[in-house]
Parts: sequence; C-alpha cells; structure tokens
Amino acid sequence: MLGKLMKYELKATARTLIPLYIALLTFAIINKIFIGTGLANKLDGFGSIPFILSIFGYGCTMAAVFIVTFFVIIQRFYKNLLGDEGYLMNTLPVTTITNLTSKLSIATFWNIISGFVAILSILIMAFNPDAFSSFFQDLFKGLSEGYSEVGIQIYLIIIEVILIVLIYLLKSLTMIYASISIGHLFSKHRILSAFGAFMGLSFITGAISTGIAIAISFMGKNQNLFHQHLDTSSSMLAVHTFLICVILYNLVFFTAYFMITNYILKNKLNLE
Amino acid sequence: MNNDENKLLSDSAENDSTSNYTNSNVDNIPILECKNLFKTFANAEALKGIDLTIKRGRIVGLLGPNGSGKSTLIKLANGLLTPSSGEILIAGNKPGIETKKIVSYLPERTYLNDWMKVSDIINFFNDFYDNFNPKRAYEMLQKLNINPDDKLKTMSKGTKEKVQLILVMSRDADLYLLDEPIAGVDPAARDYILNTIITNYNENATIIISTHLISDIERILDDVVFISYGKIFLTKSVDEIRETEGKSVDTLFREVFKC
Amino acid sequence: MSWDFNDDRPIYVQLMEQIQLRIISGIYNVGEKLPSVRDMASDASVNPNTMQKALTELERTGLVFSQRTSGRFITEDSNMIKDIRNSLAKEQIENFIYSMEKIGYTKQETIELVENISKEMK
Repeated sequence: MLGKLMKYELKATARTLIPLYIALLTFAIINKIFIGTGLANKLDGFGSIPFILSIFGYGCTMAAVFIVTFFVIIQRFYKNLLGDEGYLMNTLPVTTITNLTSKLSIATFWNIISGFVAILSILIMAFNPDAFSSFFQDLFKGLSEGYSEVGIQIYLIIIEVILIVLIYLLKSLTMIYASISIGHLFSKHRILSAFGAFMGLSFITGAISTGIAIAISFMGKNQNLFHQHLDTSSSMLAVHTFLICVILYNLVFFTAYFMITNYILKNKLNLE
Repeated sequence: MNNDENKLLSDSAENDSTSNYTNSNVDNIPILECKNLFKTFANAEALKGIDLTIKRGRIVGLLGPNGSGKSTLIKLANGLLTPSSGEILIAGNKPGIETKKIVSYLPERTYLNDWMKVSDIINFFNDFYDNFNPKRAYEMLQKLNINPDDKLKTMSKGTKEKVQLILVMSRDADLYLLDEPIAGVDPAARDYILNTIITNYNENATIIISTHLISDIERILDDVVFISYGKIFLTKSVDEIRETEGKSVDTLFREVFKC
Repeated sequence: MSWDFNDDRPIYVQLMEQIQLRIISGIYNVGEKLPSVRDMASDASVNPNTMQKALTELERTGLVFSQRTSGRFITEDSNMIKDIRNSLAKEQIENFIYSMEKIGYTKQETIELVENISKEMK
C-alpha cells in the first residue's frame, strides 16, 4: 500500500516539478552557450538583451525551483489530506502512518532532487574542463590526506554528515506537517493557526536547543571535557559522539513531530 | 410522533424470502451498530447517545433536517471522525483498515483530484480496493455517456458527481454510505442512479442513503431512520409507516420536521 | 403498463395488486416464468425486498408458485385467474353503479348511458 501511495504522490507532484527542473537546466545550458562561445562579451547594447534575459530567467527559475518545491510539499499535505481530497485519502484502507510516510518520503525525495538539479545547473554554467579536473584532484587529495590522518573514519564522518542533513530535512518537513495539522484543529482561520503553530514549534525547538547548548557549555567549563583530549583517536571519538548526538537530537524532534501529526490526523480529523 | 424509539429495525424480509441468504454466521452480526454514541465538537453536541442496529441486506434511508447529525454519523461510520464516547461498529469491528475495505463511501463533496483522467481514477480505485470491479465501472460510464479519457477538470459538477457514484457502486462492499447521491443530478440520471442501486443490491450488503429528497427514493427504501438534533427520532420500515400512519414517509417527514 | 403507486398504502400491497392485474389481463401468461426479483424490482423502481415480499404473498394466494431451482411461475390454473378477473370486474361494476347512484342515476339509466357512450367510444 505504501508503494502505491508513493506512486500516486510522485505522479501528482512530478507534473509540476519536472518541467521546472527542465526549465532550470535549459536556462543553464543557454547561459553556458552564451558564456562559453564568448557571445556574452561580443554583443553590445541591444544584442546583449537576450543574454541578460537568459540570466534573469535562470535566476527566477532557480528561485522558483525552491519556492515551488516548498509550496508543492505544503499543498500536497494540506489539500490532499485535509481538503476535499481528504474524503478519499482518509477512507482508503491504509493507516495514517502509511499516508504520512508516503507524503514525507516523496517530499524528501523532491528536496534532494531539487538540490541536485540546482547544483547541476551551476556546474553546467561553470563548466570548465581545467577547473573541473583540478577540483577533482583537490578533492581526492583532501580525501587521501584525511584518510592518512584518521583512516577509514573519514568516510564514516562523511556518512554521518549526510545523515545529519537527511535527518534535518526530515525534521523540518515533519515540523511543517505538524504545524499544518495543529492549524487543522481550529475550525476557523486554519491557515493562520498553522503559521502560528509553526512559529510556536520553531520557538520551542530553538529554546530547547539553546538550553542544551548552554547546559553543555557549562558542563564543559566545569569538567574541562574538551581540553583533555588532544590526541587524534579520542578527538575522533569526540567528533563522532558530537555528530551522532546531533543526529539523535534531530531524530527525537522528528519523532515528536511525526507523532503529533499522526495523532491529529488519526483522532482529530475534522473535514469540512 | 413521539418518543425516542431506539429499537432494532425489524428485519421482516428475512422471514419471508425464499432463501437467497448465505449460511454463514456473518449474517447475524449487524453491519452497523451504534451503542450510546456521542460526538461532541468544540461548539456543539452533534450526536447525543445514538443507539442503532442495522442488519445486512437492507436499503436504509437516513433522514433528518440540516444539522441533525446525519453527516456526523456517516463520518463516524467510515472513520473520518472518532467517537467522543460510546461505540460504533461495522460488522463487529471498530472503524479502521478492515472496515474501510468493506465500506464504500460517497460524500457530498467532489473528492477527486482534477488533474486525473477518469481512467486514472479507475486504476487508483482498482489499486487500493480489492473488491473494486473496473468492468462494471466502465459499463456504467458508457451508459451515462462519459468518456473515460476525459480529464476530470473538464467535466461539469454534475458529471463529476456521476463519476464518483459510479466508482462507489462499482465496489463489492458490505456497506454503502451514500450522502445525498441524487441531489445535484438531473432527473434522467437520477432514475439511472436509483436503478443502479436496485440492481447492485445483494442480500449481503446494506445501503444507507442520507438525503432530503425523500419522495424520489422512498420506493427503494426498506427502512427509514429519522434523526433530529443528534438523536434518533424513529426507526421503522417504510411498510410499517404506511400501514400504521396511512401516509408516505415523505408526508410523515414533513409533518414531523415542520418548521 | 406502467407501475403506479400511491402514498398511503404499503408498496408491497400495491405491487401485489398490479402484478395480479398483469396476470389477469394476460400480460403475464398462464404458466409463464416470471422475471427475476431483481429485474422486476428494477422495472418497477422498487426495493427488491419489497418485490420479494409481494411475490411471497402472492405465492400464498396460489396465483404464483416457485420451484426451488427454476424460479417463480404464474399458476397453470386458468380457472383461478378467470375467477379473480370476474370478481375484480364485479367489484368495479358495483362501485361504478354506486357512484352513479350518488350522482343521481338509477341502475337502468346507468345501463342505458353505458350503452350509448360505449357506442360513441372507439
């Protein structure tokens, strides 16, 4: 069932997003052509208008990619689960968790894709064979230096960082979903309440984070935790511990927001 | 016209009919049962202690003025709302995945997403419901001259409602919940819809129709439930009402709920 | 023949009468197999349970009988049908004559009026 939901979720969102991604890449290619063939430098006055338009178009499309992705994610949740379509979606023989998971997974997917497409478009425009190969050379050099210093752990750290980005993404998405769900609890001014809930949740998250940060710095001061470990292996342990704590910390928030959203959708649903 | 009659709907047909019933025990469990069901919202008590038992193989009219709690009751039955207190059971189970498999619901609203074609939505239903019959759906679409390749957003509201009804009736469900199935529809299509309900009838399934248009559907109803201000006002068979009151259900309704 | 129902009597009773009418007037022939309950219900736009009840009641009168696997049939007894037709006709005529008396015609005047008017009718 989850797979089927994800399939339809993908179909519903791809129609809007894929054309946008293609447009972005197209602008990137056009700009590349202008830059690469030196046309940009040669054309003056009116002749440079197409180029300017193209850059402008690229800029707008880039902004659009992120804005539209954001709105599509919100709209899918709000309209499909809490709007008229909710009469269909919430009477399907699937659990609320399944419905939520399908929305969340596809939203995450598009976020990652839009990131890749954005980077790809920049790469296209900035493509320069020399710069490219020197970039990769530096990359490998950096990696092998890192490897020689800390061994296999360099890859572990890379994985942890990727996980952090992922879990942070999931946390943000579920926070948005939770806000919209809390807004749904009110019978009037639902959208306004959702914003309010979002502010509220952000504030709470921020407050807790700050609180923990202050607590850690106090502890650290008192116990000289950080000054003791200067040699490589235990500082690596500290780094790992830190990264994993960040992951777990975000995981807790993610779980909380997910559970809030699920509870509201399951027990407090009230479609008009 | 009186007191709260919270009694069992008599299933007189069960005694008379020649045997098309299956022998399983399933028939003995009511398809819908409400026990002291309450539903309260922030600003109002929508249902106040509903006791109701509806058996399989009946076509039941859920009748009451606006705000009487009809829609609330139906939403509780298909899991869109949760009870404040009391119980509602579908074939003995609380609303959940198992009941959603056997309940086919037609809301008053259009719940289809506009970008799909009719054939897309048929595939959707087929994907999620094991008891969906695409062939029946396509036949009904053809009879009503609806092209499956049309996009939903090009259709009029009336046509979209017909499509929704076709989707709902193409499922082999145990309980059909139809909320105002004929309200926005032209008289010819109305006849077709009522006819569809009759011909899709089977002794194992129950159809509950919530509507204001009583005179049109009275003939196809077995039983009626009058609901008012969140309470069951009466539950009787149509025959009983005509025999004891000497008037049609429509007339009785107008008297009972006179403004 | 279309199915006509009024509001104040149970539908199954009215169904019985109209099915009986169809039998008597020959629309359903002696010994003929009746359509399925569902088809008849659909034709009359009524609830199948109601149609079932009407047919079951008719079985009790003997006008209709059912065979377990083959379905329902009109009785073979054409005398029974004839008797019913006659008694229905008698009822109609009696009611008619009483109505005419209420308007002020004697029985003899009524009979003459009937003859004259039926000659004018096509």
